[in-house]
Amino acid sequence: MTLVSADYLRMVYMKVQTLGKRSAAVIAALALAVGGNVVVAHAAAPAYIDCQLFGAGEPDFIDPALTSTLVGANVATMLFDGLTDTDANGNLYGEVASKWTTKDGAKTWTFTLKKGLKFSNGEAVLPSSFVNGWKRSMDSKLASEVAYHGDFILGMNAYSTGKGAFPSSSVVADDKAMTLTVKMENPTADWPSIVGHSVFSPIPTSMIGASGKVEEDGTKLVGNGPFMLDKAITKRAGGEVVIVPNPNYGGKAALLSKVTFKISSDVNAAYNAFASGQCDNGPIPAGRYAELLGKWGTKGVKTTLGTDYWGFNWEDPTVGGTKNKYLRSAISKAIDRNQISTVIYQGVRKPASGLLPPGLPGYTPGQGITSTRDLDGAKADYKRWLDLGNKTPEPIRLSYNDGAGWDKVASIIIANLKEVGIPAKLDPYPADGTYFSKMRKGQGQIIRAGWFADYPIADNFLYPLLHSKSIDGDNLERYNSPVFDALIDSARSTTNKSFSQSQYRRAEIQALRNDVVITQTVNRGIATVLAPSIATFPITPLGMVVYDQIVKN
Amino acid sequence: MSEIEQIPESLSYWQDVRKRFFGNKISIVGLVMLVILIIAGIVGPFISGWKYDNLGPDILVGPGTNGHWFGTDDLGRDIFTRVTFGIRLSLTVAIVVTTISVFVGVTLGGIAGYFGGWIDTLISRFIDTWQVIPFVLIGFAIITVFGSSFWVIVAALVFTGWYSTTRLFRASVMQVKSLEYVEAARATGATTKRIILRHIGPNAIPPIIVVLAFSVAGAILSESIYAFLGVGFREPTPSLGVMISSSRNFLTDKPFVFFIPGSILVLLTLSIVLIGDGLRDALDPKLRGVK
Amino acid sequence: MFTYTVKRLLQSLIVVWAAVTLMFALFFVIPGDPISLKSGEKALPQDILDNIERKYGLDKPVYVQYLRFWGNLFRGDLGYSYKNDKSVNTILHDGLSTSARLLFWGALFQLIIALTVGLTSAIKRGSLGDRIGTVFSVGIQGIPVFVSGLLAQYLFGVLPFQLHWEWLNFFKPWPQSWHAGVIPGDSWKGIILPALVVAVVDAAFIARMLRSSLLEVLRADYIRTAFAKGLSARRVWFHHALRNALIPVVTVYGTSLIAIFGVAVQTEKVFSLPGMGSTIADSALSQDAPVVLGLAIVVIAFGAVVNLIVDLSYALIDPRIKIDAKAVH
Repeated sequence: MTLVSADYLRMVYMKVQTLGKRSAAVIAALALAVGGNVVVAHAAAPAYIDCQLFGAGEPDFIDPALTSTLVGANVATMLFDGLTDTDANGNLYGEVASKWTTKDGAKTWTFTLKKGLKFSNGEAVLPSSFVNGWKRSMDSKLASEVAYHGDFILGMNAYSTGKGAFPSSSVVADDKAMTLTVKMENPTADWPSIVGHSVFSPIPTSMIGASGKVEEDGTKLVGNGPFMLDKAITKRAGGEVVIVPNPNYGGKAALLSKVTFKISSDVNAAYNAFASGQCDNGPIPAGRYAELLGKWGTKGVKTTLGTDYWGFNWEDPTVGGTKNKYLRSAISKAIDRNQISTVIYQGVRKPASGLLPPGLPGYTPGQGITSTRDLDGAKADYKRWLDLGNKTPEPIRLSYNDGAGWDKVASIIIANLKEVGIPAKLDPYPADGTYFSKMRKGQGQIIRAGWFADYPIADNFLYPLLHSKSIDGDNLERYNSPVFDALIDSARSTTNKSFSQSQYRRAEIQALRNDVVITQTVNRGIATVLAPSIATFPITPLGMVVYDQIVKN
Repeated sequence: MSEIEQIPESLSYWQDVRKRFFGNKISIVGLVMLVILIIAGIVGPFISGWKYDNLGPDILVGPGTNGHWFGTDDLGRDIFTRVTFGIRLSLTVAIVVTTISVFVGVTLGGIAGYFGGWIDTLISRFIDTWQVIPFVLIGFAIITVFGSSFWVIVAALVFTGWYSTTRLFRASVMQVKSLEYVEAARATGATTKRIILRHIGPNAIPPIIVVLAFSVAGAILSESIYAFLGVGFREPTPSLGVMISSSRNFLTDKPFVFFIPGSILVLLTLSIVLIGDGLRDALDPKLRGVK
Repeated sequence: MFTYTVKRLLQSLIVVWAAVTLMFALFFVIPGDPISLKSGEKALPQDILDNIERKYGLDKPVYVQYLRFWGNLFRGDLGYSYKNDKSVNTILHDGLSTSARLLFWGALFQLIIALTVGLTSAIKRGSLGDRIGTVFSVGIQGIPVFVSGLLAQYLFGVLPFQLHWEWLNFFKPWPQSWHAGVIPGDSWKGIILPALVVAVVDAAFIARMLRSSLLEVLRADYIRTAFAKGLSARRVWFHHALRNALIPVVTVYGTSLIAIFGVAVQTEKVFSLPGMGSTIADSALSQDAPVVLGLAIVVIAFGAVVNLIVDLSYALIDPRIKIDAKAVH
């Protein structure tokens, strides 16, 4: 919203000259009134009360070096700006960095930083601020859960696991030239996207070596983002986190004068507070999506970069390997994704047509073997599998971690499979944290899994979930395909975007359609109800609300 | 009514008990309720035509629609089937738990009461240790560590219930032990075993029966509390506590999903409590012959 | 008396130690991976897991962790939550204030209800009110706290909201500000439903006990003497009968204090109050051992103290009981 511009003044002056003094005075008065109001309105930017982000409980951390949850990271990105960021339309742009170049086949990256940017305490944002930030977040003593994102950097893994010193030769800051040069372990074409993760935030010199407790004090967590902490946070139910615009911010100023995040221990109580007018947005209690979205509108709903899926244990004699492909495709075609989306998520999570979610750069729909349901195709494929000499199997186990509601999805899948004649049963594992390690050891048959993007790149889905090198990591199916590996490796080592995207696309088809190693169910989504006075509510594909650009009337 | 006062019949203790129990209106009400619920629990899942984990197309429809006598829940499962299954589950758990608790209680309590001395002190201290831990904490500790299968839940419930029967039986044994006729029996040379079986046992039994009834009620409640807190049985097992817990999300527009399992749970527990109350009044020897 | 007290005190200490060691064993010794549990969806790389475990001292052998646990305890340090590094002392403080307020108001309501109902049903014995009271006190035994809590939410929250009867709507948020510790500064309506739910559990039982012991006391000779002397009915009731009848009631209060934890957990869960009960519940489910142990110690110690006080007061009232104390329980 611009104020009285030069052209406008000139136009008024011209009008005054033609109309005569009296009318001119009236017009001038009117113009001043309007312009003045505009000035006044802009100066008194509205305050915002958020009851949704922490409506289900307090955040784990808002410190960018430590937070491992979406909601904590949302606040961290408001307090800290990284080298790059992703906007609400999914486009990568330079936040602190103005440009970046690469050489050595994407193994060395050099970022040029914008000049004149400051932290909220007035200190300048320099390349060394990033080095200090990474030294802190990757410190093995801080034991951050998200330090592993630094493993892309040459020699950083030894530092983050306490086995070596900080690799100063891999991260070189030149404060005079305002450049930051980073050396990678392997060719990393997507490094500019990856480095936008909040764990790579810069820190002022006052925060060097600070412990995890630094966020509790309102004055010690000092960042370079559009907002800063207003006072100490009270991290418990009934408490709040308050942020105000950073006066030293070098980018576009926030449109709100204050944001108060209210912490509640109960989603229902938080929603009730919203419904009685105490907040500008609120959470939606489970089971009430259809009702409340119908009442308050869907401006706060967005599909995010996540996919739920069920993986087939590649080494299982009944469902794994190339010989059982028809059984897997039968199962995949039998699943009624619409039913899962409507009955369990009431439409907030929409049926997925592939592993990569919409909103990801280079996304193509329909990569999976089916997008919704193909009952006839399922029956035909099952018959083909039986004709190959296979017998009706023992009930196939749908393995999942107990206590998180996955039994409902599994129950629907069992009912779906029954229609094809495939017997299946529930296989819950205790909710004690050992589910993933047991799946990695090959104990599951059809494995419940899901993934939410760390950074908006296709590689973040395909490599950790399906590459053979990830077999003891997140490749729970123990999928091992040289064809798939080759496609991914070729995509990672080129900076030619269209080539890498086509390779990723081919890899997705190989895994999902040719090998049917996993079957996708729904994409993730975020849903919040908004007060009628909210005109614009931008959400990035990563599910982060861009608070500095919220327009409230 | 003649002028001469009627001489009351001379009844044996147990005949008197039976007469007083069935003469008590409240006990009859409880008994009838329990019998109806048990029949529903046994027969219900067979006659309803649905299975408890069968997903149907009708979501959250009210009682009486489309052949669902009690309606359906949020996944389209028939509530009548689930509730009658829940009755079965609650009663089975409660009876198994109570049987084991009483067994343990009688054994340990009997040993402690009869032998006294350091054995008694040891067992009593052991009881004290368990007593200070709230039953909910024990449940959390055991079930979150060992998982929520049927036998783990039974174990957790036994660990919270065993000491009341032990203490009671110990007290009865100690009380009776000092009575004169036991000393007389010993004076005439009766063996320990005979003393326990013939003399101490029958006198200590009536309080045990009452405690049994209340233990069963307590076990039903405890199991449902565990399920509600997320520590006990979990979805899709149709425990009444699980159903009540899941109904919270729909309290606003579909309250019957809460009221149906809720009322069944209350009626089940209440019927047993009423029977227990009736038993207590009937078994009290002080009330013999009193109208 | 003194030696008896010392003996019981020592026994209580041993009991607390044994109970806490039991809980420790369950949480620390049995397999389960709390660190992986809290990371949720993403399977963390093994070396990150090792790092975090090292930070919490989980890589040390069990007996070292056990000794460290007690060592920290004596220094007043209850440990740090796995979930977000929050000090358990802080969590305890936050939880305790909420639970204490809930139990204070619950106990107050319980006293008022028990006294009113007990007295009126004894005075107006046999009347309709007395009969309703009896039915209610029997009936309430079959209703678990979470059911009565949800029922209260529906009757005094959901239903009035749908019928637009705001005057009946007591389902309001728990107060955020307090005066003098227990007086709500805002949203006072928010304490009514949870406190009532807590009160109702034992109020009926106590009322009934009060009624029967009042009736028994009334038959006593000294009461008839008081009536014969010409004292007014009210004076007899309040000055003589009530005071003596309260003795067994007070002892019942003591024993019900241990069961109060189960009541508190359910009430806090149903009304989503951030008290000790719901904190332990959530922490147990996420295997956040430091929080569970830290809070459990407080709860167990409290229970042991209550037990001790009840035992000692028994011994004070009736010296015979000292010898046969366990049998009478």
